[in-house]
Amino acid sequence: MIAWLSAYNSSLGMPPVSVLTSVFGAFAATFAIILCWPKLVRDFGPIGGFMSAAILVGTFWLLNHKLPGFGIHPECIPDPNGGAKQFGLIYQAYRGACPWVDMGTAIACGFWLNSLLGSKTGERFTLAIESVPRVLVAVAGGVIGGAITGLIGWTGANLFGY
Amino acid sequence: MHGLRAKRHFSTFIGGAVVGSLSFGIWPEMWKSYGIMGGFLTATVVIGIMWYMNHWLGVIENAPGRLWVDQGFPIMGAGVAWGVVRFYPNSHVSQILPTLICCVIGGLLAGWAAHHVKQVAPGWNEPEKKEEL
Repeated sequence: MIAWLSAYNSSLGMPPVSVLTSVFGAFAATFAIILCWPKLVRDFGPIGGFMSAAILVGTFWLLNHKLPGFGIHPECIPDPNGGAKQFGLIYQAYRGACPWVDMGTAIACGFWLNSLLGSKTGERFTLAIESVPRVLVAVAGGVIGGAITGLIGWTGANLFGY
Repeated sequence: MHGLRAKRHFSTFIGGAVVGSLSFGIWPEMWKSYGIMGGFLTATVVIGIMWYMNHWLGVIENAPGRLWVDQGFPIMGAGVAWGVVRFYPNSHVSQILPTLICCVIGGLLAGWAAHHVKQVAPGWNEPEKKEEL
């Protein structure tokens, strides 16, 4: 059972335990940010936003996204069973060497649904339709910005002899 | 650039492009160089100033009473597009789909849960102090 739960499952695209950790990691970050961020901004103004960015996003980045093997241990922190194992709650295929799924996905979806549920019942459909172009334009902006940033890997420049 | 409508979309587009670029240009390098504290520092600096630009100053359009479009949407798009371009031609795009679905499910669950928790949490139901003063 434990072996099945922790082994890579090709029909799921990840180990079965990673489904649980990914959903819960996304849930925890989104829930805490929806509950705390608007309140901190109301209490402290823009300073509250900076506090939230540090405390909430910083902490949940560590919980959800830290990968082993970078940073102060570039040679990888070895697992007792060999290799370097997933560290963050949100599963990343190929240890991050593929398109990145950010917890911003969860946070944005959560905020959107939360504001939808908070609106009046009769207006929800109109409001959802109104938000679609804004969401699409925001995602398109992110796609262009991210794609251009990804191009830095194409320069092929070997700096400092490496 | 004619009309307020187009200008607001233009503004949202640019806000999304900048936050996506900063997140994925800076975050991986900081965590490779400084480990966990690099991630904390990047969260403070990048998300802090980008929240200020996109949501406090309102570069990403969010009129009062409308559904909230968070800067998480451009970060989602940027993470995927950055990886597709960065690791081309071995991007393994289809591999991220399960994680993406898990993230969306987790986020929607949290949005639903937060809606109900807000109705009972005392901190969300205290009377406005500013009006009393």
